[in-house]
Amino acid sequence: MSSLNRRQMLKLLAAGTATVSLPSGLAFAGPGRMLKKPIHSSGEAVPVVGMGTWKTFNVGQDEQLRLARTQVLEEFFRHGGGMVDCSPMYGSSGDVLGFAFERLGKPDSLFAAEKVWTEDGSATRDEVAELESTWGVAPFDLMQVHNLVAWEEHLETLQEMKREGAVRYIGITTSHGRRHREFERVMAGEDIDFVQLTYSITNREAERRLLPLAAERGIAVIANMPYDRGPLIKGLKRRERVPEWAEQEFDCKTWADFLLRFIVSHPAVTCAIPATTRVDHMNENMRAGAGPMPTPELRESMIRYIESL
Amino acid sequence: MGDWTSYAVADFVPFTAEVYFRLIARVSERLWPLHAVTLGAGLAAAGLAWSGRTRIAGMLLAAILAWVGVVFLAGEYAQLNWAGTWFGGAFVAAAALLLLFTVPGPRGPARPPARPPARLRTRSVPELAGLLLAALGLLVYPLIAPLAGNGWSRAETFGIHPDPTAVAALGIVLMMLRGSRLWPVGIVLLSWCLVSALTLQVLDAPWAYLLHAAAGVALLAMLWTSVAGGRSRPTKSSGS
Repeated sequence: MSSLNRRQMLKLLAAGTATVSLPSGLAFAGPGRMLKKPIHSSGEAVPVVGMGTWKTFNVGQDEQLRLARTQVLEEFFRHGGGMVDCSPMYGSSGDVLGFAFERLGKPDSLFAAEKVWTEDGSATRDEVAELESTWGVAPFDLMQVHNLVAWEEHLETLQEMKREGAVRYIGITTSHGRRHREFERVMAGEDIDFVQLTYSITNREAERRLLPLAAERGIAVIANMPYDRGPLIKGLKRRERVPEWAEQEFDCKTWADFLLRFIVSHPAVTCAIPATTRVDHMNENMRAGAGPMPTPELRESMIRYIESL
Repeated sequence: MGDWTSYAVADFVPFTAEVYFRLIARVSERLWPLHAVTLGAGLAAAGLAWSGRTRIAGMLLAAILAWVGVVFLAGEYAQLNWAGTWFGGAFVAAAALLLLFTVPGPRGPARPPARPPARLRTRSVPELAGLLLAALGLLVYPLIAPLAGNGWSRAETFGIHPDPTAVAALGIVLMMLRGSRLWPVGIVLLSWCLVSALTLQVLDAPWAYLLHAAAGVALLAMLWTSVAGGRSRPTKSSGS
């Protein structure tokens, strides 16, 4: 085959990719068909739908609820799920994850994401060690500074730990648009792999500066609160049917498809982390990560549709 | 400032309604039949406080507050919410203050001025508000869950669960304490009532508003004692 033919072949392949409407950087995860996006700093790909644990996994010592959450987690991994995100602020959620992993084993696809959350800037290593013990997982794939609490000291230690191989990636988090200016300064000035921020179809503040900056700096983005604390999807499910045009254009069958695909189809977003207590909702969330993604034009239509409700 | 306006009350409630109400039921099941003892202690404390015999009332109430602080708040609730440890400590501190204010030490607290027997006196507004709150916490609270269709398993009882304990305790201390002795104990109980009422609102429990109302009545009564302090009776510590 001549070099010209190879170029033609590559063009043909590129055209074929375009027909399935996959934005740049997306790839299918494998048998589960979950899409993956790369972490810019390493090229490692993670599934575009992960799992948050705020409120949902904080069940204390309640054995019945711990077993129920274990089923939710099992379903997550059955669909090829990867990122599980937690924080010491989430009460017993870390303990409950540890309980679940004891029963499920540690799935190969697990991408364990935790946070340091203490005003004591010298306690980073102690807190990470405690979290490893709680989850029964070491090292963590991603360790983030929660809500920029004592971020200077924590980030310095986390950078050391990354060099030592004690964590694989490091990052910072915020939610609901808080401290975006300071967040932006850290993104611009520090060597981090991930940022976690709130981004949803009804909360698009991050589009103005943080998402473009993340793309420019090669920082992976985790979108939290994809359902805007929950009422967004609950309200839509109660009042509205998914619009027909969305189903025709990108096989959007549920509101989870609609809301999650909007988020992860943004070129700068790596993954979204919806939280749920229910296996059927987990199925919906994971299906959303496996379908065709909306084009930029469709994303605009989606925004207009939600704003019109 | 902009950051604070982005917070919703729900951002401070780190668990779901299912988890919280199952906790209420699980603690109740585990401690049964201690409910009869704690409820009896509460009724006795309220009766003693009403009749002016504050020493034993104070001891009973302090024991209950410390118990709920350690067992429910610091022991169980803190698993779900880190603030549970702080509230557990605050309940224990309130119990210690209550003992200090109602039980005589080696030299005893300042003796109250002579006054007519309780049955012959006209009751003050804070005392009447206290009686109302004590009745609410001791007698009405256990009925809320069954009346709301949630069954007896979720019934909340004085001395077992923090909401009826705080409401009834507010009532009892309004009968016993005044001025600088009332506020340090009252503020702990009021704070819990406010936090719990907001939590229940987030969890869509309609009786959140009852708790708000109880806290409002208690706060007004406490302010009343401060404004009309000179005319109200001080703590009596030797009547038991």
